[in-house]
Amino acid sequence: MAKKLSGIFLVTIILLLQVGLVFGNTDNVIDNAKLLDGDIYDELQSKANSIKTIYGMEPVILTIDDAKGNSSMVIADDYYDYNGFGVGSENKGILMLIDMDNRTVWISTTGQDIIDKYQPLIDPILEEITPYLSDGEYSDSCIRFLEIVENVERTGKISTYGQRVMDMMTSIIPYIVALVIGLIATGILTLSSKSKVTATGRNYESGDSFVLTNQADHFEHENTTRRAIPKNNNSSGGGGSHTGSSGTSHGGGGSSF
Amino acid sequence: MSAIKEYDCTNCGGPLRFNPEETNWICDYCFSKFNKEEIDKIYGETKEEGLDEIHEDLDSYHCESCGAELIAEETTAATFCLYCKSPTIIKQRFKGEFQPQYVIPFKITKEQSKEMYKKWIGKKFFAPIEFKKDDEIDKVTGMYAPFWLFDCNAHGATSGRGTKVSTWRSGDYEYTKTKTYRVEREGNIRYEKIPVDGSKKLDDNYMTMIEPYDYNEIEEFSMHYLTGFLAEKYDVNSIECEKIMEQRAKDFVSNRLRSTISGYSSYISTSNNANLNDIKTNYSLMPLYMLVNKFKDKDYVFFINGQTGKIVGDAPIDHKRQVIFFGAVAAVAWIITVLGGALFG
Repeated sequence: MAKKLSGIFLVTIILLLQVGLVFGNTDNVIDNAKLLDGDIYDELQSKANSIKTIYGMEPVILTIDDAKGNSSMVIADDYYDYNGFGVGSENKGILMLIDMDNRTVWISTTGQDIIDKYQPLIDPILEEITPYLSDGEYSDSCIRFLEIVENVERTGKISTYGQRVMDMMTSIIPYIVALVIGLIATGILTLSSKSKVTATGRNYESGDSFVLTNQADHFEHENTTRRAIPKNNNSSGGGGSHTGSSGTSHGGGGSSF
Repeated sequence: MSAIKEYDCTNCGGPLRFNPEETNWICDYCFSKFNKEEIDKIYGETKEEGLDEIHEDLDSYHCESCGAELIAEETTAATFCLYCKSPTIIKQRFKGEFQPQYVIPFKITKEQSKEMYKKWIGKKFFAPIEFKKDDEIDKVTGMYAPFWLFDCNAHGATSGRGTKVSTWRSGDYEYTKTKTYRVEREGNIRYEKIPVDGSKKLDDNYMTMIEPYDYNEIEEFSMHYLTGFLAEKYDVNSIECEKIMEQRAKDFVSNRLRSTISGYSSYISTSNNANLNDIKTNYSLMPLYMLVNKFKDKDYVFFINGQTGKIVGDAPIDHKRQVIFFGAVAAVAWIITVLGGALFG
């Protein structure tokens, strides 16, 4: 009963949001919190259009500054469902909500393959986006979000190969690996310069002269100990597949900024 | 009777050398070949005239081929004339207690030893480039080294504690059972011809590493084998060498007994002893090639077993090459990590 009521309540809010369409908002970029600069809408919209056309999934960006007591997850899921976003029978797409009231960024995915594809990437994506938001760079965060979506759709990874090479070059890991491998290789060759003794007692043993005159293995005592096996406490992070009020399943996750 | 012995070709009078490749004697000038029977006939067997007499040791000798006077170091038993290069054997130095019972003749020629060494040092990546040059490798010298060979009966006993550990799961618990055993082993073993080098000049560690020699090819001693090579007589007596041998034999016995202990997850030895008896001693000359190289004012000695070809020695490490190698490997590893990591990251 309570669920049904809050559902209706939410639908009303969203329809009201629709009525109060702010000038500048485009189909896929709804900036109710007025975070974005004017000239960015067209750029974001054309990017969203190309992703929709080429990859068959619809990216949406939504910003709000009043959550009216609802969680970011509910707002994101419901906004997507009740505004008819999505491609195909499963309504494939992804929505990023910047909730200035809860100071949360939430990513909502729709369509089973989209949900499955993005679920393992949600945390890395949020890690990428959140710094922009913490620094107040909302336009950049949206541009980066669409870049990430395009990369994921095209290659399955968040960043391009070139970006990852740059990351690697500035990371300390290759230096450590290079140092360790260099040391091991040099060490092996250095040690192989040394000569070794190869003659053993067997070389001088006369025929079958070896005779064991005494061989004893006396059992002395036995000792048994036991330890309890610790139980696995499965704690899964927030997010994961859930069903919104409209009946559609969504995936996704969020983080505060 | 001459104090020295030189082997001359009966066809042309040139010097004869022992030829390891064919186990015969070959003339330097006319390349005539003689086998052991022929040499024995011409020059007599090992135990010939006056070998058992003790003469006063001489400091200098006259070369029979060119008349030059050679001064020989106290331990040198066979050498070459400095001037005419004729091989010379100083019979004096094989008399009495210095008469060897055995010898293992050279199997590898000087040329072959140079080839083997060249390959070996070539593989030592960090060795300085000078060591790999032909004129350095040319300095290889073949010599017979004095060794004491010991036969003995050894008796050893060892005991210790062994554990067998097994684990299993039942319910919510993991069980570990440890069974402890007291282990005893005792045994007898006979060793033959354990070698200990009898020369102060030759480093004991290298001489141990150059083993083993193949005793299937050991011969009764004959001076004939020495012509064309250097030879040294011993200057460390058998009593001292026996002490070294004892330690080795005892280690051999311990290891042999230890190898019969099996089936334990862990084993700790608590007592170990061995003793030897019925020790027989023989004096033998063993073939080896020696090469001395200098690098940064230090002498580096290399030995090649003249029968088996095993090469021992510590090649010096040229640090520049080491650093360059390290840098190259590290650079390649860095590139692969960056490109590969980005591929899979």
